Amino acid sequence: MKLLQTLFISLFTLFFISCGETTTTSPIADVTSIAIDDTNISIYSTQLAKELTATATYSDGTTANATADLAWSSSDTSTLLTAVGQVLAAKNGGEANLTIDYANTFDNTVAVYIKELLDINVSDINVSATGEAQIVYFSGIFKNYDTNETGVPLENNIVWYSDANSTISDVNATQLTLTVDYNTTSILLRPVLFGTDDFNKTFY
Amino acid sequence: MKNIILFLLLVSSVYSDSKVYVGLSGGAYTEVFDDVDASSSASMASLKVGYGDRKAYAVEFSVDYAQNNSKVFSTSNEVDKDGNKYGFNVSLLKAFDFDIYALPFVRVGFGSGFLDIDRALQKSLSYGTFQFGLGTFLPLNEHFDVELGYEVRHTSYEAINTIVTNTNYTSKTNTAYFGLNYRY
Repeated sequence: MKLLQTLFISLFTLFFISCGETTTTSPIADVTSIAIDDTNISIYSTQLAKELTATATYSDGTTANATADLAWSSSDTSTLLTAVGQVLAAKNGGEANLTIDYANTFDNTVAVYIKELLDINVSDINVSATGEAQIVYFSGIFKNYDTNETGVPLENNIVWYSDANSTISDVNATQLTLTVDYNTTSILLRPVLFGTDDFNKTFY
Repeated sequence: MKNIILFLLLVSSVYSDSKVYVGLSGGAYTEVFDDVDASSSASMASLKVGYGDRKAYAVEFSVDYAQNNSKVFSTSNEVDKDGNKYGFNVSLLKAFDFDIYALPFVRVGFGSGFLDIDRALQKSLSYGTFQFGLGTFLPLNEHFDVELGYEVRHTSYEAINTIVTNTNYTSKTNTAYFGLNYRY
């Protein structure tokens, strides 16, 4: 019986010694908001995908990069395409909303403006220089709300073709190499953007 | 197959002089978290059903209820503490008859449950436990006995979601309790 008494005295002493204070404010920070870091986003319709980041803010004032943990979506996929941490222009210019969401609990939306390609400036081509490789320079004219922007490189969403009398090679965002293969009086350049060739240029 | 064999061994080992019993107990516990500076003390109640011999082995199934006084997980301003805690446990008990009035026992078991919380992304946290206990039965008569016990419990909670991270928290709980069992 003494053993039993000793046992229980020990057990209850241990229990009361182990009794601590009761925590009344959670020491585990909680999410208070998420936000896209860029608030004024605009992209050219021929721009490579624009990288974006999103940040989660916590109740203790700390933040963390939550880019990869969120769902990214576009309000209008004919204007704006999205992937995790990226936006890319679709066919139509104009404005679309970019939204990030987590579990239908936290979200944040920002407007993205797509600058539409209005025209392409192309340097002259010497049509009679048969067999010579010529560097052809080009740049875009884009609509930026009520003004036009010129001299913009054409990075993406554009494919260059020429007629049967010439060959195109070494295309980048600002120039291409064109070789006139046969004697001809004109050369047609066809920059195709989103499957349409509204910007054809004929050189004589 | 292993489970069936273990179950049959268990049943056969507790068969002699075994009885079904039910018990109700209440106690106080203190829980100290391992990975974060937090602790919780509150009262608890438990209802159990067991089968076995109070002088030898028994298997027990119990449900626990505890009403938290602490605010370890909840962050909402609308609550001043974490919510209720419910658990279900399975334990194996070994009692000893030293020819003294009391029948000391040791108990090991495991369980699971959930804790009501109020966070932005979670309203409930499930948890798993492993527990070890010591105590004694104090027989009142053939059917009734008082149970005094002390239990140490390791609890592993479901991960806390903060979007960027999922962090698991663990704790150690010490519980002292008093109960009454009825055997038939």
